Amino acid sequence: MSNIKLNEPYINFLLPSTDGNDVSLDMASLGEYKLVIFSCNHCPYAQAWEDRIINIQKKYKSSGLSTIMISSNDAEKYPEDNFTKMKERHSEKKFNFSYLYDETQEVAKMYGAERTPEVFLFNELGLLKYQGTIDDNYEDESNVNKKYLEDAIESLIEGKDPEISSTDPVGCTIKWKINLIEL
Amino acid sequence: MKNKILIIHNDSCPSYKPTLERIQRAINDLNLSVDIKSKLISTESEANQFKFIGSPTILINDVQFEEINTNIYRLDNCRTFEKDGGGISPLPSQKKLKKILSELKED
Repeated sequence: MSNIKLNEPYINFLLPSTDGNDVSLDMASLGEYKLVIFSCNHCPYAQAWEDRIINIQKKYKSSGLSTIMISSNDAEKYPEDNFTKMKERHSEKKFNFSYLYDETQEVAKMYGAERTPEVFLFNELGLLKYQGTIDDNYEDESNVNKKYLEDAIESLIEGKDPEISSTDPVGCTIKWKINLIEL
Repeated sequence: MKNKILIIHNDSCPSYKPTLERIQRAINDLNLSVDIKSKLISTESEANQFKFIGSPTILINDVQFEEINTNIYRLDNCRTFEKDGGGISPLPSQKKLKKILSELKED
């Protein structure tokens, strides 16, 4: 369950990006609407939605949308999700947004993210307005009935709150590291 | 010998139920008599024991549907399948399932 409730402000972070920079949500260069997506390389659900994420960023960039995708998975257990592989994925898919590595998993924990992909959309004041899944058909984009995320973005652009502000994220679980406590 | 399908799955990937529905639909369409069994994998040790490559792993008469050659077995992995027309999906193709099941011989 999300640790940021509806209408609460985003939690800032600073993480390394696959493009070689460090990225923070507080960066002034980011657009009015911030879209934080927890995702990863290996998960078939994350992969299924990747092109749609690229298209959403493309479609709404001029309206002020800044997408930031974060992978928090344990890369020891899932080497497909390590930083090198993330860089390869970024290059291969030509992401039009930052892809960040949350190695300590602290950001995922702060946000209360559980699945990949799971999205958090913040309005121009940085308040959470939508959290959950992208749409209602991960397998077949042409058969999507509910574009939850796009509808939420459109609402923000129109200066309204989204009609649907929360959905259950659908995807793989975030792969947590084992928390070994020495006694 | 009666045909059998074993679906090995975990409880973290959402793919199990829709996969089962697709298998049942294919069996109904083909009017086959097949024993379907499912095995929930709950521990890493079970994942190793059952050579669990991800949820769902489908064995049709002990042969892996869309075989993935790997020796990495992880409890919470979601597996991928080839999508009709290219790309990948968390679910097996309905068309491909039907095709493979249609090749089964009945008693």
